[in-house]
Amino acid sequence: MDIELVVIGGGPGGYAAAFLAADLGMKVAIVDQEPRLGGVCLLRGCIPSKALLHVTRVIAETEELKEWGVDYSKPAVELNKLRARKEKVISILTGGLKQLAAKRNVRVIHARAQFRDGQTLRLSPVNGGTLEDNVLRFQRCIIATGSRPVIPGLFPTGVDRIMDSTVALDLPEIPDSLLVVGGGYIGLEMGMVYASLGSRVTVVEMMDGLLPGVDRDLVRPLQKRLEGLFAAIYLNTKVAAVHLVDNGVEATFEGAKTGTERFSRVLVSVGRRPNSDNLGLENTKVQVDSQGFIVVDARRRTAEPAVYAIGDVAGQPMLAHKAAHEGKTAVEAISGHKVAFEPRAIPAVVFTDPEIAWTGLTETDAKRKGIPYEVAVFPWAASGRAQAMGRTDGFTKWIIDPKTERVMGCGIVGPSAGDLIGEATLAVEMAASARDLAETIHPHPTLCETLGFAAEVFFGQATDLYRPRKKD
Amino acid sequence: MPIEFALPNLGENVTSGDVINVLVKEGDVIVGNQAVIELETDKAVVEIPCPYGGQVKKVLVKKGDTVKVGQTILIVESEVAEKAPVVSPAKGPESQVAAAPPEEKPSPPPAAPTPPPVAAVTAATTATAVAPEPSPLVEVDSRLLPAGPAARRLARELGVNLATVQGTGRHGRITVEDVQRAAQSRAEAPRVTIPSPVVPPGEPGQDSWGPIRREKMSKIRKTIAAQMTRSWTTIPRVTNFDDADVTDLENLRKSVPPDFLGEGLKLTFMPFVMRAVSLALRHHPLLNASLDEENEQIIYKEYINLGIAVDTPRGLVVPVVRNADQMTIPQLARALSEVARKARNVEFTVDELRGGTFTISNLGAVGGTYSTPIINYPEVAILLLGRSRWLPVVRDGQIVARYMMPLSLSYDHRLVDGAAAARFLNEIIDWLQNPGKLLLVS
Ligand SMILES: Cc1cc2nc3c(=O)[nH]c(=O)nc-3n(C[C@H](O)[C@H](O)[C@H](O)COP(=O)(O)OP(=O)(O)OC[C@H]3O[C@@H](n4cnc5c(N)ncnc54)[C@H](O)[C@@H]3O)c2cc1C
Repeated sequence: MDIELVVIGGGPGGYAAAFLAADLGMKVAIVDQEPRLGGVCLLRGCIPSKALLHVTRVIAETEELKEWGVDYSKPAVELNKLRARKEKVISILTGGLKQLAAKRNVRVIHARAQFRDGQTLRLSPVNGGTLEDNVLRFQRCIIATGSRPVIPGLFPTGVDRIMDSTVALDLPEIPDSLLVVGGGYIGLEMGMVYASLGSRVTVVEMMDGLLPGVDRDLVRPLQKRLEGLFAAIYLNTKVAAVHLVDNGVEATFEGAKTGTERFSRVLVSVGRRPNSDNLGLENTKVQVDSQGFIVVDARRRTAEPAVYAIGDVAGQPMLAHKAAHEGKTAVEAISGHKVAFEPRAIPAVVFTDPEIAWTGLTETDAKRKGIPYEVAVFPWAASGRAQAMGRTDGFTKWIIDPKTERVMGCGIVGPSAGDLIGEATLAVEMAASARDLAETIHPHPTLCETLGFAAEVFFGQATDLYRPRKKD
Repeated sequence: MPIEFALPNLGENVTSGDVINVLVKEGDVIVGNQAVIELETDKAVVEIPCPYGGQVKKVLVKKGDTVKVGQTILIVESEVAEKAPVVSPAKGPESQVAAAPPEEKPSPPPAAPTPPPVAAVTAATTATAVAPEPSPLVEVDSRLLPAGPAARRLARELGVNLATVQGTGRHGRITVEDVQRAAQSRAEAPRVTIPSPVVPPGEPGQDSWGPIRREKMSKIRKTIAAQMTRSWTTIPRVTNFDDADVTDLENLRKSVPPDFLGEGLKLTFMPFVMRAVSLALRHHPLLNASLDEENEQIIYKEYINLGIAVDTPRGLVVPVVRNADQMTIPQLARALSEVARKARNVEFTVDELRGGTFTISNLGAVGGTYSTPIINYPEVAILLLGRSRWLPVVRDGQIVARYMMPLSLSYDHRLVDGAAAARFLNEIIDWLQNPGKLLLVS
């Protein structure tokens, strides 16, 4: 079988690339070992986790209503129904992708792919499927094989009590107690889901704070809320040993917290590793770095001239929207355009409650690199909308170049921060100045107003906040 | 920690090169795989990317130096070694490995990162074949150019350096229109400048009769010189001159609508000549052979790879179009425009200049009629096209104006006799004079 472009992996990177290529007139095939399109993001990542977090958020809101004089009874959770409803979200979306692929004449081949050489793939059937042809010759190939969870060796495998994010999303049960190993975004998101469904959740994190690397001021409001919601948060602590015991797992801690505790289940969320192994890359010139990421140039081309790589397998940050944009860059490069993947800002969102979102330069990075910056913060306590929602724990901050007054980055914490970060990302990409933001009329009363207000704070002229500043 | 970056292996038979340009200076901060020098090897000019990011502590080469493979070019104060080997949690999902036992930990940061093998280097250099050296992934910093994604995209497409564009938008923002203007004024610029006398390159000096300039011969010039001398001193060369009546071909060529073969692709005589030569070579294998003097054997090549002489600012290069006899005229046109573009932008790899079996040199665009081209050793023949012009020709006793293409065929008389060469040239002329046949033959 011969094909103009083959994409390995039908995740957000892979299908974005394949669809654009088809729109540009190429003959395209997607090879994925999963029977359904969508990749990790749709099948066991972004989408199912957000479906569950939606439920979590609504449950939390019913509780918040108590102080407004509206009292709901304690929710009764029907796990089967919850699971099925979440599954429905996935099947609607993956069904939509299937149709879009068919309309565009993108061939979807259900198989595992490996490189035989820089021009040919060997396909092997999965789950007893059959294949027309097990050799696929391509003119160009895009590797979009994504990543998978890392499970350190001290955790026994094949035990249902030790879960990775995929198992946790399947909601096998609501355990009495859950130990979340790793205080990164996936651990905290899933921890929050289980806590709101009734589990006692403990988080253990090796570093000295949750969400390592994120600006500390953004994490603080979340940490405060989690301290109330979770049974315990152990920082500067490692899991040194785990033992399976009757109906549970015993974990021994080392570091700031010591001793042994027993949990019904454990969720291991310590990181993800790129799927660059078992791909037959050794039969090509494709290079892989020490962390397993495929080495690519600005157009996402590997050292093998006809092969490109995008998404989680091609480097940090491992995020769906980054994968999709890289996919488009690769396809445009293949079709001869002079393009490069050089975003100024890639937004990142932690979908906890409150949400944390940031884009472009962070304070942490600015300090590390010695880039001069100023921050302008607007606390949501001064926002009418946040007050009306009873959620004043958030804030919006701009990171601004003091010389040009252009915005270089933005950080937001609070409900819907993830939806607000889009405007900030556009502003950074457009090299907007703080003045542009202050003079753009934002609708009232909304949370997005806080982006304009924070820019006014930079000039010391925020209507709703008195904070004299030097700028005029 | 400081890391030495040495000239990596550049592939087959390339052991050294001359530095044409040093693209970084001490104190610069570079990102991984940024091009740091431009190097001229025997045949190609390549940009050498340094795999390490960090601050350039020392630059150990300068323009004009000859650098050997393995010789240190730069010392970089790299941040790589300090970088956490795992997912940077700031950007990536999930956090640091909380309790990974040693065997599960991603390998510790190596003392010095292993340089990527050659393949990465070649990739980076061949990368320029499709797009201009993509600038490194821009990290947000205070020196950002005030241009949005659409303007940046257009600048890439048009090859405009944004740093030189004056933004007219609010607060100096560079708009899409600014980029378009910059591209346009660049295109117009040469028309308004008055040609100034050419100052030859090199160091000024003096001889008995006046001032002179001495320039070190470039690698490419030395290669050309050696190649020409070898040909001239080994090959007893004879040249036949003739003309092909290309009036019909010219009418046909002109009747093809612009951009028919692809946007910006101009249809010249060359693809037709390449087709005619390929067909004729199939019938005259001796002209597609070479001489193995040592073993006293004749090597007939069963492939037809046409070398195309291209005039570049750095000198003559002859990239090769492989298996030209298996290509259609549109394919030849595309291949030709690709090799010509690459040759002019110095984007070809050394391998792209090897393995030719017959060379065509086209002076038509520059001017001139006949010439006595030197054979591209070890090939045995070369065809030179002059500029076609209207000539009075006698047809059926009448003088008519015909569009005539002057042809000069040089050949190695050790292998090819005059009559054989004439028959070969006749066949080429026959194809060119009967474009219908040329288009229909398979
Ligand atoms: C719990 C969780 C929550 C997340 N939440 C978010 C979020 O909110 N926002 C966000 O941006 N990102 C989120 N992510 C990350 C996001 O899922 C990934 O960044 C994204 O899926 C990467 O897309 P991709 O196209 O690179 O690869 P993937 O989505 O990983 O897809 C790769 C596909 O390739 C297939 N494949 C692999 N190897 C082969 C082979 N050899 N042959 C055939 N097929 C193969 C796989 O089966 C898979 O379908 C989350 C991840 C997890 C685990």
